[in-house]
Order: sequence, then structure tokens, then C-alpha cells
Amino acid sequence: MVVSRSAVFASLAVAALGLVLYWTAVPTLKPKSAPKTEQTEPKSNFEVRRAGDAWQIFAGGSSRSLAAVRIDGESMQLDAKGNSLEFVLSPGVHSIEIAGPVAKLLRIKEIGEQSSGAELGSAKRFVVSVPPSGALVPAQTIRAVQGDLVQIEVTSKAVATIHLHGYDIEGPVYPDRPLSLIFRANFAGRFGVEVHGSADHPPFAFVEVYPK
Amino acid sequence: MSKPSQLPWRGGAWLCRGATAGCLAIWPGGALAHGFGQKYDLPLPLNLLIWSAGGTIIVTFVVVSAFLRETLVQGEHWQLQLAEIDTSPATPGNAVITALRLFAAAIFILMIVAGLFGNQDPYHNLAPTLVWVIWWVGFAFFCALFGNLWGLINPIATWFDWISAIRSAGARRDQARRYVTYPAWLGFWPAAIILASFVWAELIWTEKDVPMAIATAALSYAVLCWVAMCVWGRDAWLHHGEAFSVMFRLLGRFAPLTGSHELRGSHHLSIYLRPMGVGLLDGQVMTSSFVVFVMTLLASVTFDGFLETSAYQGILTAAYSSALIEWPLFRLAALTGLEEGAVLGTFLLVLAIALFAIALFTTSWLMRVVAARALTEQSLPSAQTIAGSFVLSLVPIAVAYHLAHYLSLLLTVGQFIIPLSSDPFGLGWDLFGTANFEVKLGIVGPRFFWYSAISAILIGHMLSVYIAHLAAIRVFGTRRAALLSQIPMVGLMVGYTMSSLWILAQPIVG
Repeated sequence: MVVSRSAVFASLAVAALGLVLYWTAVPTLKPKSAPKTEQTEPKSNFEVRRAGDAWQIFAGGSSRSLAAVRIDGESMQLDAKGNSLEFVLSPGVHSIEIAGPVAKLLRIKEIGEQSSGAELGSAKRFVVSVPPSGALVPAQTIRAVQGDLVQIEVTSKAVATIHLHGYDIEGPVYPDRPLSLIFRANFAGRFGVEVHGSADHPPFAFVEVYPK
Repeated sequence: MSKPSQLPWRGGAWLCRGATAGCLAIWPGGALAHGFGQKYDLPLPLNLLIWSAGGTIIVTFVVVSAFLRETLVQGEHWQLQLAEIDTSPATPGNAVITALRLFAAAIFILMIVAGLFGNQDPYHNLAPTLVWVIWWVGFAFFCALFGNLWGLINPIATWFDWISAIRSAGARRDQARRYVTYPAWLGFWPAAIILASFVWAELIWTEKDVPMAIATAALSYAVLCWVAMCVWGRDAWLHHGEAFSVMFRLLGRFAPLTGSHELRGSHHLSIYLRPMGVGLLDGQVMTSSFVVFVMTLLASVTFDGFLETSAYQGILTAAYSSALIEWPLFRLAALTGLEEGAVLGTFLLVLAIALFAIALFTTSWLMRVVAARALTEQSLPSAQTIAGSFVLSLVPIAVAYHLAHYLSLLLTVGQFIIPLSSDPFGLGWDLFGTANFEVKLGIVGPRFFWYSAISAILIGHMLSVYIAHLAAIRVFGTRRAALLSQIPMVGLMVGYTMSSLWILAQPIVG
């Protein structure tokens, strides 16, 4: 009797395990219907930010310095400390090579209104507004599917820095100048959009990216 | 780029850095202001919730009906001796165990030093990731799914052993230390209170991700344990008071591997393989303090999930807008120096623990009432005995929910241990060449999260119902009484499983 009980027990467990494997493996085994866009660049431990009309590169992480930076094949002049660089880019695809502690290639794809209006036309557009501080407004939820090009227009009555968690995109919003967060939703999950620097504030919107 | 061109500002199209990168990185280069251990899980879709709720009911009926046909034979469960290790001094087995203990003891000191003197950014210091993710989540998984290793490597016990060995080597070694007898009435209450405080620190404490605060708390706890070990003796405190020894031992009961290392003095460590969950079946009647300990553990994991739901946000909003609650809340906040949210959270956590304990005791009382139809007054166990006999059968659901809730956290935030092991103090070191490792968020997709969560919860539920049935036969003796008694118990379990599933189906807010 004891043996049979453990046998029942073990077979149920094995069956359940099989189901888990089946469920988790089957979606990944299926051939991908749409060919993926070739956006698999290695990202390195430096940050590229935008400041006004200019772009900035910072040596990220643990206080490393950038040894040499080449943009579209041309060497750039670094600042005195050698850990940041400021430059202006025209819309389009640019290659940024950073040699030094890390030597990697980063392609920045600037999706400006001028340059790729057609591509932006396929973007899923959403408009959210930053609630006034202190207001108890339920967060808005934006739903997208993995792989979508998403454009979120953020409007605000006050100047603020907006941050999308997970994707880690950040930008300023002004009362007269809404912010447009544009990104390819390559990663599924639920990501908060919050006013930067308000750690105790819950996000005012969420982006839910569902798997295909 | 040869001629830097002017980029017109047109509504501010923003760089899509994270999105175009091949992997999504959550490297916190100062850009992240949100709390430590952020989760990005998608809520369980409604159809999956309905399917798994249905599955819960079906699993319950399958287990119960399988039980109906079974004869009431109680026997030893199957177990297989995997290894017998000689641990007498100067043997390889002893060397391995000593190395493990040394490793854990060194990591403990490293964590304390990093927390006290290292970089205070939670992502650039070993302490927060090590304590909250690797140890509290990862090590608990290890103990539940493999075996209780804590009994062997507990660094607090190791340091105590080493220091007392040095002391007794220097002093009169023939004189055995005399300890105060651990009072029986104290039971597992110290462990329950310590666990509740720890859970409070995990869920409510606003400084939980400050490395220095973590290290100070850990060191204070170690000192508390050492003092208690000096008073009541090492083993008495580890058995009753050291909350993590009690907790990992409890989780280890669920595990398929078990060892005989708890028998001190013998120089043999036997490792056995057994079916998962049978360690919860050894027929002991737990004391009420232990029942409260287990309910604290169960309540805390559920409460952690509940904190992220909009229902909790609703409670907060309602409390803030009610003058009746708001006034004492602000007074208490001013008095304790905590934030209002933390005061309310503390209150709700205590309430959750109390509700869990009340639910179990009420169910036990109902079981007694129902079983009374089939038993005589003399053979009817008390409600307290029933609670003490059935409390362990709830552990599989708790382990399952723990897995469902924290697995994605372990797999994503847990990756920070790779860069941190090269730079534990956040000083720019690169000891193992992994300091530049980038955390990949996309390592598991929502499908993996959903199906692993549902499977874990269904399997856990199945084991719980099964174990409760075996416990019922033992406690009530007759088959009819056992079956009747299971009506309230299975009700409690279905309720517990459903609430776990409900929480997983709630979108994470805040």
C-alpha cells in the first residue's frame, strides 16, 4: 500500500512537471512567424543621454573613463576627465564606437518626425497626463504587444522628468512641450511610468507589454 | 556627423535606448529612483485564472476520491539512503562541511563589512541583494526544494562555535558550561516574534534597502542570538529562538533531501532521498507557538503580494480620507517616527497574521464539531491539538505561493549578485571580471512566469490536500471522522489557494 501511494504521488508529480515543461517550452519552440528586426546590438556599460538638442555619452557604472569615442567613423574630442562627451546628431542611424575598457558598437536609432515619419506612423500612440502632485488619481494602463512600436505622449501642467521603468527611458516634459516616449516594446511585462525623483509616489501610468 | 548639425526640437522625440538594445538592462546608473527589488510581472490573465481555479477544484476532488478508495494503512514512507558521510575529524567529509561553514561565515562577515563601510547605493552594495534576494528568496527555495542546508552552515552558530572553542581551549576545558534551562512556556514564541519583525523589515521598513541599516540589523540580530546562546545554550536557542533555523527547518521538511546531521556528536552524516512533502507528515502535534510561527510565515508571503495590489492602495486611500483613522495614524506616525503608510502597513501586517491564525483555529474548531458526529466525546481531540496536527499540511501551499511570487524576482534582480560578487563594496573593483555583467530583464517571459506560478500553486495545493488527509487519519482514527473533518480543512485550503491565485491575477501597482 505504501509503495502504491508513493507511486500515485510520484506519477502525479511527474505529470504535473510534464505539463509545466510543455506549457513553457511550446511557445518558444514554435517558429516565429514574423522575421525579427535585426536589433541585437551589444550594449555596454556607458550611457547615452540626450540633453536638449545634444547627446551625451557618459562612462557608466563604476567610474570608468572612455578612452576613445568614434562617431560614424570619426574620432571625437573628449572632455578633460575623459568620462563624458557631448555632441549633436542629425536624425538617422549613427554608429558610436567606444574603445577603452570596453570596445563595443552601439547603434542609435533616432526616430525623429522628420526622418522616419513612415515608421512612426505604424506606432501605437497613447496620451497620458501627469496628475497634479498630491492628487489621488488611479494609474492609467497602456496595453501593447511585444514588438510593437509604442509612442507615449506625456503632457504635464508642471515641469518634470518622466521615467519609464524597466526600459529605463527618461525625458523632460514642460507645460508647453509634451514629451514623446518612443520605444520598441521588445520586452514583456508591466512597467511603471513615474515622475522622476518622487520615490514615494506610485507610478501614474503603467505600460503592459503582452507576449505575442 | 562630420558637420555637427542642428537637431530641431519637435515635441521631443526621445531616445529609445533600452528598447533597441538587444537585452533590456536595468543597470542603475543613477537613472533608477524606484525601490530595490522592483518586479515587472504581468498579471495572470483572466482565462488562466479561471482555468487554474477550476484545476484547484478538480485536483481537490481527485485527491479526495483517491483517498476514498484507499485503506487506512499507516506506514513508513519510502526513503533511499543516498550517501553516508564520515564526518570525524580529518576526513574528506569533515573538510567539505568545514569548507561550507567557513564559506557561509565569511560571506556573513563580508556582508556586514560591505553594509557598514561600502557604497550605500543599494545596487552597488552586496548587502541588499545578498540578504533580500539571494538568501531570503533563493536560499529559502533551496531549502524547500532540495534540503535544509541552514542547519549545517548557519553563520551565527558557526561563529558561536568557533569563539567558544577558542575560549574553552584557553580556559578550564573540563568544566562543562551550565546553561539556564530553556523555559517550556516560551516555546517558539521568540522565533515567531523575530520572524514577524523580520517580515516587517522586509515589507514595511523604509530603510530596508540601505546597506548600513541591513548590516546593523543583521549584526544586532547575531549579537542577540549569541547572548541567548550563552544563556540557554546553543542548541536550545537554535531549536526554539533562532527564527531562521526554525523556518529553514520547516521548509526543509518539504524538501526531498534530508540529513541526519542534526544529531550532534555522531560522526556520521547520512543523506536520504524521500518523496517531497513527507517530512511534513511525521505525526508530531505542534505547539500553539509553533502554529503561530507557521501562520506568520504564511501570512507574510500572502501579505507581500497583497501590498502590490490596487486593493491595498484602496485601503490606504480610504484610511487617509477617513478622519477617524487619519488622526490616530498621524499621531502614531509622529510618535514612532515612521511614515503614515508604514504605521498603517504595520497594523495591517499584524492583522493579517492574526487573521491567518484565527482562520486556522476556527477551522480546527469546525473540524472538531464536524468530526464529533462520528466520534465519541473521549476520542475527540481538542481544537488546539487539531490545529497543531494540521498546520504543517498548509506548508506546501505556502512554498508554492512563495515560488510563484518570488521566482521572477530571483531570476531578474538576483542577477545583480554576479556584478556584485566582483565589487561587493561598490568601490569599482573587478575581482572576478564580472563587474560589468549586465542584468537581463527578458530572461524569463510572462508565459514562463504564469505557467510556473500556476503549476507550482496547483502542485502545492495537491500536496497540501493529500497531507491533510493523511494527518486526518492519524488524528481522528476512524475513516468516517477523518473524511468529515476534511470538509472545513479543504475549504480553508481552497480559500488559501484561491486568494494566492487572485493576488497573482492582480496588476502590480506601486
